[in-house]
Amino acid sequence: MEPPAEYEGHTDEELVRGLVLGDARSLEQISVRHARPAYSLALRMLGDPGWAEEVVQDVLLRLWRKPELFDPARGDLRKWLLTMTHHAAVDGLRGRRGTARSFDAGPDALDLLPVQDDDPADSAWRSLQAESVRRALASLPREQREVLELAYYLGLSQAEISRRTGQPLGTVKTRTRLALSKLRDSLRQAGVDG
Amino acid sequence: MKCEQVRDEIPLYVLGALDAETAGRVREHVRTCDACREELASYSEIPYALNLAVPDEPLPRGFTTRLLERVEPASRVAAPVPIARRRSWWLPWAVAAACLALAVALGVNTWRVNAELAQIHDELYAQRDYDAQMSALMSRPDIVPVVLQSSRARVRGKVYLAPDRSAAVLMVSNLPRLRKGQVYELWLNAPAHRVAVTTFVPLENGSMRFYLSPPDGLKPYKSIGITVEPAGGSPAPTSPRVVGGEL
Ligand SMILES: [Zn+2]
Repeated sequence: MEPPAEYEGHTDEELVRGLVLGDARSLEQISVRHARPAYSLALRMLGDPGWAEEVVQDVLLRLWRKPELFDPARGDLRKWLLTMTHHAAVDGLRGRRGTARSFDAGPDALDLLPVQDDDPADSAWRSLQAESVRRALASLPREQREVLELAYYLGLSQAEISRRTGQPLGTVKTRTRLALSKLRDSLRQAGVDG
Repeated sequence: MKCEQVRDEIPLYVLGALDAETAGRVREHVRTCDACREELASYSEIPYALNLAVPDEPLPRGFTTRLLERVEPASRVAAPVPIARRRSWWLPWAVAAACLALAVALGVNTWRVNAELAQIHDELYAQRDYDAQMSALMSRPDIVPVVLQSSRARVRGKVYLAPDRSAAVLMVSNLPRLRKGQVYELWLNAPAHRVAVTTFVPLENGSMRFYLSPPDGLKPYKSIGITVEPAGGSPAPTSPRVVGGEL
């Protein structure tokens, strides 16, 4: 099923306005445009194609039903969809492990921050391709990358990571901090150079 | 919390790896400390970068088609829906779609727009309330079960009525798969008028549940029925009942 060609020229914001009017074609175009990276993320986290599809569809349907959830002033649509997909997948994983809601789920952290428009970090990521992020991740020492991935993609707490890897909690925390600050620095650099 | 400690926790905070209490203290601190807020901001793009850094996977075939099948036909603009059809007192319920169904039914006031995470919390709480409401009704010893009649061999339908008829749960199963351009439509019939409650597409397994609590209760309604209608629904049933009965 292909959405009508005229929708290809629509901006994300126009498509979201279409959702407000109940236009299913706009949803179709949003899916064609943005579902793939969201699905890739969900699959990386959940490891199950059926589950990943369900999670991403739930996120898209939630946008369909409440398009006002997405505020263009706070970032672009793809970013929002990925954030929501991450939350939903972490919820799913924690639910399955029976650790739902025992700890804070992260990027709401950023709700405290001013709108990102004039933040240099924002333009930094915009100039980054997914590939350079992967490279930055790949350049981390293996043990740092491991704790980072367990925390972010599997939603594990530091204590859970400690149990799983057999490393002391302090070591896990140190590695996570190091991993994150290195990643931040290489993203910054990519932003400056790119 | 001192700045030094907060600096230590910020990377974990950004990853969502802190327990709720510590996260709360970090949040409290950065609200009032410019330097630490700046430190937090320096990590603000990390989650998005990590969201992008996963291996690129092709979408499963038919992903968007299946997505659109899940869009309630009644809510599409392509088939305008009479205002009377938009009722807030019915609630389709199914395990897989529970949260989303709630989003439709509970409306704006329950949610804080743009506080996404808070929202997920709210939804879970609302979900729990709803589950509680529903199971409270279902577990009443004086609940009145009404078996519905079906024109198809395998289709089963049952209504569980609160004794005071203020609310009911409708459960149907084994509904046949619809052809393209068709939906099921749920009707409540009073002696002098008929209400088109909603159109719906059942779950993959042919089942669907509704929680019904009309403002005037179910007393005015003498019967309930489900028919197959063209997408968008009909002003009055255009085909025989698939399942239904007296209330
Ligand atoms: Zn501070």
